[in-house]
Parts: sequence; C-alpha cells; structure tokens
Amino acid sequence: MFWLAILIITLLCPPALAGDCLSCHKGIKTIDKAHNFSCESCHVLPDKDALKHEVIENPSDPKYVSIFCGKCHQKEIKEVKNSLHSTCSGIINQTRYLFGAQNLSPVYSANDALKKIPLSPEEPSSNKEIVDDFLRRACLKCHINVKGEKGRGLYRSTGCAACHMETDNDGIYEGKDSTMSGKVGYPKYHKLMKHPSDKTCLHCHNKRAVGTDYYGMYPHDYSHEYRSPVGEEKIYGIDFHYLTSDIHQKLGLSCVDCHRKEIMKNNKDTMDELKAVGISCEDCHGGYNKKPNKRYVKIINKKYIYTSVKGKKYVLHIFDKDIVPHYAFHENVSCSACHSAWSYGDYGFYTFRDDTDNYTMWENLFVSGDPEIETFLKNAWEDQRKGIRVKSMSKDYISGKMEKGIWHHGFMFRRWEWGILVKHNGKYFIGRPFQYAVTYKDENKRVLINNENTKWTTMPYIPHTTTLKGRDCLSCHLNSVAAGNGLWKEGKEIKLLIPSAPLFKYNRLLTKKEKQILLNREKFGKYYLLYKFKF
Amino acid sequence: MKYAKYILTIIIVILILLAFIVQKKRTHYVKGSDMCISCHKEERDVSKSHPKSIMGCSTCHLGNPYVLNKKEACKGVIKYPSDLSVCEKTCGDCHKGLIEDVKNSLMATNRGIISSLLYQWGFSSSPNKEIDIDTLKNEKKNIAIDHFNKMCASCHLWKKLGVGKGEIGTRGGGCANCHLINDDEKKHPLLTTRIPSENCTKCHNRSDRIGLSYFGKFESEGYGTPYENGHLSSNRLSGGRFFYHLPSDVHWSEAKMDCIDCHTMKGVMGWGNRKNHLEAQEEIQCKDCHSPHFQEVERDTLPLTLSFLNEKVPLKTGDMVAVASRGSLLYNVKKVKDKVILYRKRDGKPIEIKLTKEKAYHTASYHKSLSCSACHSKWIPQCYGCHEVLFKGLKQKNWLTQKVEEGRWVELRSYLRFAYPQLGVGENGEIMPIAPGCQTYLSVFDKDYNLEEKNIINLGIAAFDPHTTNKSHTCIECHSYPKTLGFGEGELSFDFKNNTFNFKPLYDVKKSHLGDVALDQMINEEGEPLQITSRLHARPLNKQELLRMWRPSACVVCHDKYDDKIYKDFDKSFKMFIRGKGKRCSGSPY
Repeated sequence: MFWLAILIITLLCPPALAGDCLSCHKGIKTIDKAHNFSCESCHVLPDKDALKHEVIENPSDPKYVSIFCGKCHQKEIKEVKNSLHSTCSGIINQTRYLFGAQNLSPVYSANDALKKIPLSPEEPSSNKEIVDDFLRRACLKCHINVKGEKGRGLYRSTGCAACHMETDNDGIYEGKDSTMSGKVGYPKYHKLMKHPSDKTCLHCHNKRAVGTDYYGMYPHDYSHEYRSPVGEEKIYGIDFHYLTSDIHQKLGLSCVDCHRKEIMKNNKDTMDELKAVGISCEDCHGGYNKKPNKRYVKIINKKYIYTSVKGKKYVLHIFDKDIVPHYAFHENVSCSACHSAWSYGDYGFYTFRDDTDNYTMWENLFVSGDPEIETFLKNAWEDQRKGIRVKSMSKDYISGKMEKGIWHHGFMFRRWEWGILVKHNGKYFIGRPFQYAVTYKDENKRVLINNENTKWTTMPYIPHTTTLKGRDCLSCHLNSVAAGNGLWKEGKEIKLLIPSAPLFKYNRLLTKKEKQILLNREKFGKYYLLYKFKF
Repeated sequence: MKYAKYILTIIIVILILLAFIVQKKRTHYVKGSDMCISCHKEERDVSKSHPKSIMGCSTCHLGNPYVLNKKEACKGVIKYPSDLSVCEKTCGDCHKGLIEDVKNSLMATNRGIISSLLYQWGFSSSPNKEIDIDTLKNEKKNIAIDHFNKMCASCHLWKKLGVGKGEIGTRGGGCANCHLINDDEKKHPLLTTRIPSENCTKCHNRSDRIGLSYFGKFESEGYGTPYENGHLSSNRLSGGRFFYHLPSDVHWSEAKMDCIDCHTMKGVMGWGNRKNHLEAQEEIQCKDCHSPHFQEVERDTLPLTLSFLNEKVPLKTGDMVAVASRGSLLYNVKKVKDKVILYRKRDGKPIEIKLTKEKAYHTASYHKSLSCSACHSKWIPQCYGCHEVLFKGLKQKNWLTQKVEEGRWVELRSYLRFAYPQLGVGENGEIMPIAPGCQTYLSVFDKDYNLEEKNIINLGIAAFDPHTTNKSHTCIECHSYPKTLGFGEGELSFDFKNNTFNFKPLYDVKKSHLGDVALDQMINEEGEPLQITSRLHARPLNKQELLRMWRPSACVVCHDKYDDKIYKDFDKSFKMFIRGKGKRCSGSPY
C-alpha cells in the first residue's frame, strides 16, 4: 500500500507535490476516473507530511478508512463495518457456542462492531477457555481487518481494498510504477474494481468452504503422502483435486453476479451466514410458486434474460414443474439439495494446540493449508535437527502479536460424495459436519485438554457445485447416509457419518417419519422409473 | 561249581553295572543333546515335535556339538536355520519335500508381484512372465526392477530374518517367517503349525491390505487422529501409517477365525511347481466350507499328521472332512452328524458352519456368474493414484543385494476410499470386486532435484476378494450406482433409442493434471476398459454385462426379492415394461 500512497499522490496532485511523488513513482496511473484525486488526499494524513514520506499505504484500511474514503462513502463504511466480512460474527459466535463459552447469540465480533472477541487465559484448561485462542489464531485469518497470509493465493489487502483491488495470486505488483515494480504483497495494479473478481473472493473463501467449490476445487489430505509432484502447484497453502465445477462458473458467471451489495450490508444481529445471503436460485430461475425476480432478470421476447456484470447475456433455464424431480413432492426440497454435484464433508475435526517444541511429531503433517505455519514448522524442524532450539509461535490475527504454540488440526476422513440432509426453514438442505475435538499440550508437555469433544453440529449450507441435471435420486432416497442413519452399524469411526443437530431454531435434523419416507421403496420406486426411463 | 554260582552272580552284577553305565552314558548323550547346553543352559523345547532331548541344538543350528571349546563348537553355527539359503542342510534333513514346495511357492518367488509390475510398467508384454526373485538378477536392469528391489523386496521368504528395522526385521527367514513364535525374547522362539495371524499380517498389510481389512482396519488418510494424551493416535501401522476401524470380516467378528483356518498348507506353501499368480496357488474357496463335499480320512494320511501337529483339532481315521477345490483335505472342517463343524486351529473351538441356503438369492440363474465376494464384500480398500517418485540424488537400500544404492523411491497417492466396491471380472471369469492397483504416475528427479521425467505409466486395477465378508449388498448398491458398475462417481444416464450410456465423471482429471481418465473410471461409455489389470482375463465389465446390470436398475427398487416373478424371464418382463411405458409399475401418478 506504500506504493499506492505514493502513486496516487504522484499522479493526481498539484504539480509541485506530484512532481515529488512522481519522481520516484514514475509511470503510476490514476486509480480510476471517479477517484481522480491528488496522491496526498488519499495517502497522507492531514497532520503528516508527504515529503517526509509519512504516507499511508492503504487508505482504505479500517484504521484510516473514515478519514480518507469516509469523505464520500461514510454510509457504506458504516455498513461494511457491521457486515459479516468485518465482524466474522457467524464464525465467532457459533464456534464459541459449540465450545461451550456462550449462548447462541451474536455477542462478539472480530472488530469492535460488537464486543471484541476476548483473549483466552494464559493456561486454558477447558474448551470454553481455549476457544478464543483457537479462533484468533486458526480461524480469523480471514476478515477484512487483517492482511492475508504470505502464500500463493492468499495475499490480500485490508479494508475496501480487500475486495475492490485485485491482488494477484503471487501478490506481485505488475503496474507501471517503477519503484513498486515486482514487489510482493501488494495489489496487482493501482486500480479499484467496481466488481471484485472471483480471484479476489477466493483469497479468503478457499479450502473447505463455499468459494473454491465453485471452481471444483477440493483440498488434498494433509499427510506428506498426498504431496505429489504431479498436479497443479499448491495454492491457498495446499494442493487441490479438481472436481466438476459449478455450471455457472463454466458459463462464465462470477461470484458477484449473484452476490451483490448485500455482502456489504449491516448484519450486526446475524450470526447465520445463510441468512445474510441476499439471493436465491429462484430469483433467476423461478421455483414452485415463484417467478424470476425482475431485479435480476429481464423478459425479452418471452425469454428470461440475465445480463452478467461482464455484460454477457444469458437465456435462463426456468424452473419446469413438469419434470419428475420437480413434481410437488419435492416442494420442500431446496434446489441445492439435488443440484449440487458434490459437497464438503469433513468427518471428525481434531484440533491440537501444541506449545511444545516437538516438531518431529508433526513431521508428516506440516502442510495443512497455512503456508506461514508450514514454513515455520519446516524451518524449526530443520533447525532443531542442527541443535538449535526453536520455540513454537504463531500469530494471533486479531492482536497481530506472536503467541506461544501452534494450532494443528486433522480429520478422520473427508468425502465429497456424501450429502447428509438437514432441514432449514422447513426445506431439505445439504448439511456440513462440524465435529470438533480439542487437545492442548503446554510448554511443559502437560496435556491440559485431552481430546475433549465440543458440541457437534451439522449446518445446512449451499454447495456451489451446481449441475444442470442434479445428482441421482439414490444419493438421497434409499440412502441411509443422506437420511442421517450413518453407513454401517459396525466400525467405531464410521459413526461420524451420523449427523448431530444443526444450530438455530429454524434448523433441525430429519424426523423419524421423514427418514422413513426417504427410505421408503414403493412410492419412490414409481417415480424413479419415470425419471430414469423418461417415459 | 560251588564258585560258579558266585562267579555267575558277579558276572551278572558286572553286566548289569556295565549295562547301567552304558545306558547312563547313552542317556546322557541323548538327554543332554550336545555340548551346546553346557553354555546355553536355559533353552527350552522348540516344539513338541522338535524336542531338544532328541534333536539337540546342532540338528538345526549346526556347529560342532562334541566339543566344549566355544570357538570350535560354534564354528559354522547358523543363527536362523530355516533361512532358505541353508535350510536344505537343516530343516531339509526331515522336511525335504516341503522345502522344495516352499521354494517354488509365490511367497518365495514373488513371481506374481514381479511379473505384474514389469507388465504394468511396460517392461514385459505378458503378465505371466516367468521371472522370480532368484532369476531377477539375470534380467536387464530397468526402473521397474529398481523399484521392486527397493520397495517390494522386503517381503519374501528369502529375505534374511533380522535384517531391517521394525516390522521389516521380523519378515523373512524361510520357514521361520510363518512358523516362529517369539513370545518371550529371553527364550528360544517356538515353532508351531498353529500360526498366529500376526505372522501373516506383518507382510500382508499393504497393497490390497487383506491382512488389515479382515480385522476391520482401514489404513487411514494419515492424519493420526484422534489425538491421544497429547500424541497422535495409537492406531498405528508400520511405516508411520495409521488406521481406523471399519466393519471386520464376519469370520473374524463372529467366529474369531485366523488366516490359517481357511488357508491350507498347499494353498500357502505351494505345489512344487512355480505358479504365475496367487489364484493358481490358492485353493480355498467359500464353497469348500459353505457347500462342502466330504471325504473319509484314511489311515496314516496327511490330515491326521496335521491334526497331530496342531494338537487342538480332533481328528481320527474314518472322520469325514471337507475337500478344498484343488483336492486338499480340510482337516479342521468335519461332518459331525448333520452338522458341519469348523475347529478353530488356534484352540480347537468348534464352530458350526452356516451352509449356503438353496434359496432364490443363491440359485438365481442370472447371478450364476457372480463370485460370493461380489455381493458379500462390504467394503474394499481403494487407493486412488499411486504416485511413484524417484529421487536420484538420494540413496536407498536394495533389499535383494542388501546394499545401499543410488536412487530413493517415495510412494504418494491421490485419495482413499472404502465404501461401495466396484465390480469387474476376475481371472476365472466370475464377477467380483475390483479396486485400483496400481495407478502409477511416475516422477523422476535428477541429482540436483530437478524434475526430469513426469509421466503416467498406466492406470491399473485388480480384482480380488477384499476379505470383508458380511451380509450381502442390496440390489441397488450394485445395479444402480454408477461407481459399482465401473464408471465411477458421476452422472450416468442411458439413451434407450441409441442403446448408449452417457457418463460425466465427477472428478475433473484434466484440470487435476492426472491425464485423461478419472481415477475411479474403469470403463468408457462403450464399455471398453480404460484401465488395465495384471491378468490376461481379468477386466472391468463390458458393454453387454453393463446393459444386463443396468436394465433392472430401476426395477430392483421395488422388486427387491430374487423370487419376484418379473425375474423369471426378465427379458420378457423388460420388453413388456418398455412397451407399456412403465405404466403398470408407476400407475399414473400425475
């Protein structure tokens, strides 16, 4: 952002000053037409001196945003500050609830929109005490108050620039400012984007959450056995399997085609991400009793047309109630329950805060999607083999300080082919398991928390792996995993496939009767024939 | 004559004394075996049939038993007498025939492994090349042989016992590999024919992982979870691997049967001539016990000897015992009155065998080409993508030469699965489970760690019985899941007009840079194989078989009984069904 400051200053300022900025930042371009200001007006605080190089790299950082961007965008800034992108209220409050630290209500946030997430005690001895440390160091790397990790695909600015400036996967500046050229950890160009690119969204929405699934990406397992030289270069800290991507992606639609301004909306009272989403499939494609929403779709010659942010026109497939799977018996099924080709399923989620300097234990598990931790572990392990002692440390992303210990995590098994059903507002959705167990070993190798389970849950979500046809009926019907009965009775770990109740009043598991219906042969069989043989 | 009586008495006394002395001397010789025990005092009998009182030490361990001087006595002593390189002089004294058999058996020759590897890696045109561990050195060196030497050759009977660390060190040593029990490290190990399953699983825990699956263990994704007391999971396997629990084989979960309760002497130790692959050597089949034929045990025959050596399984002349498919008598499977009893070899516990029921689900003509395992295998370990990486700049031990040589192999993978075994055709023509093995991606790094070569050698699959026998799958699990049919995960539909399948795999193999064929896709839409096996006849299903399986895929949802009338003449039923557009089935719901 350093360059940014200087660039802007140089280009658009009064000649004398501009001359000074530009003497170094040769070739920098105006950020865009709407922001045709002097460098100083964005990059220098009122009481500071540009000539002494007292510049703010990123004027849109939450610390400075009101001073600079706030001159025009006060309303948006206020909204964004209370949006989930800033508060992370969903992640924080749901996780704290699961760990037994609070009730299920939005109390804490990553910024000061709500109460700021507290610190864990020095020697936590229970799940509810350690949860804040876990969140601060393992989860909250992704909110717009902090910069991304240093690793391919993860470089990202803070504040408005987190979304509205493009940062390349390698984080290299490629603009024409000769001073900044080739520097790592900066946006690609000195340019604001009205519509954030998918790449920008994926800097955060990667690995096991909605985002990378839109591109068909499913992370490899962590052990060294999955680090093959065959395949794509690591991104977001890990290698990926590529599964079938979302049909909207294949057709060239981007994240912001569906997710519009509501992602910047004040959601202070919400801790359920599903509630914060402002669009549904029906808004474009219609549904049982719904017509496409005119906000998104235009009717031209009796055809429903969607125009993408890139300006391309699409003729929409409209919900057809005459095809078998769309018969009225599926009225209480969400579109995504069938039309998702696959989903994320992490069965067993074991977390381990290790304050000791025993790196050999993790020797095969250095890679876990966090490139900074990976590098630290590798170096520390190598140093220790040479006899240099290295204390284990990792970053608290809220305070920015390094704290003792490193959070490791692992799963029992992960599968993309199983979709477990849960009910959300009376409709069937695919659920995603969160089955935490916590271990904490302190510096003196005392195990203060020994693989303690938290509350477990299976949360409804919408996989972004849409296909035109949808999955086969048998992926839910007559399928005991989908119904929530698990796969087999025997096998200790296989029981992880039996879902735990989702959070929130409007979510629940399937009732006994609903399971029976799902596993009933006769009624299903009749329609299955029609569907399969297309009579 | 007066003295004659005394003289006679004296002579008799002297004779008795002499006899006593001689006797004593002889007993001393026999009992004390040889001089070895003057140092090795605490040694116990190795087994009932190998008592030290009769055999001494030197019968097996050689050396000079007649001297007390350590240097001379221990000259030529062999630590591991059953090592295949020396066993003719030791074990071979009594067990000459057996040693011949064992040396020609697959566990000694590794022919199956070597010829499959050479074939799949393109160094041999046939999977039945006659190449064994002892003839391998005559073969021209290539990358596949290098791989075998360093990665595979630690599992065979010629391997020296005690060479290598951990589990590897316990492998090999000829007869001892299987027959030795090391129950107490301070004492002489025991020899047994009641071979504990651990002796088998020290080798049979990789590749198709039968020795794990049978006991309900699944080699995990390697997370080392759940954490225990601040450490990684204690569910560990050799080589830094972990496992988790899946349903075990019913023979284990219900009857706690060991490997040797099914696997016969001949099936394991071979027939004297060299076989190409395991199915040529293995003789036990499900039906041998579950629909058995019996034969009377005659006097002085092998079954009686085996029962005598086993000590737990009761058997006498005239008993009726089951016959294995290649003719061996199963001395532990006996007809007792109306029942068929298996005596567990470990402890002789009688277990009643459930016989195959002559019910529609077993007699249905349309299922006559199925092996038992096609329906009864609950799961199968599926290791997708075998990434073989050779680092020329590192070194690794060649297990055949025992020398550390240039070039180190690392084996990596794409992903693991256990559920929903896929089906294919086994070497004997039966439909059976089929799983990846081995889908080889080769990467070679030169001495400066630059990627020198990167290519796909081939995608291989193998049909085998996974040893996860349980209640049968439901009809839909085989007939209606595209994965089971061999297509893999994805969208499968059928075009009745053109009689063609249409399949879109879920795995985007091109984007994943893994070639052109999704790892779980064994066939294309035409039913042509996309992956090869290491046998001449084993293969995935062909189009005709696919069609036959696919047609009832929707019917089986409701008509899930084998004796349902629609299956009496399914061709006819199906034609009627198509002609009537399924109306009789579906009614007219809308």
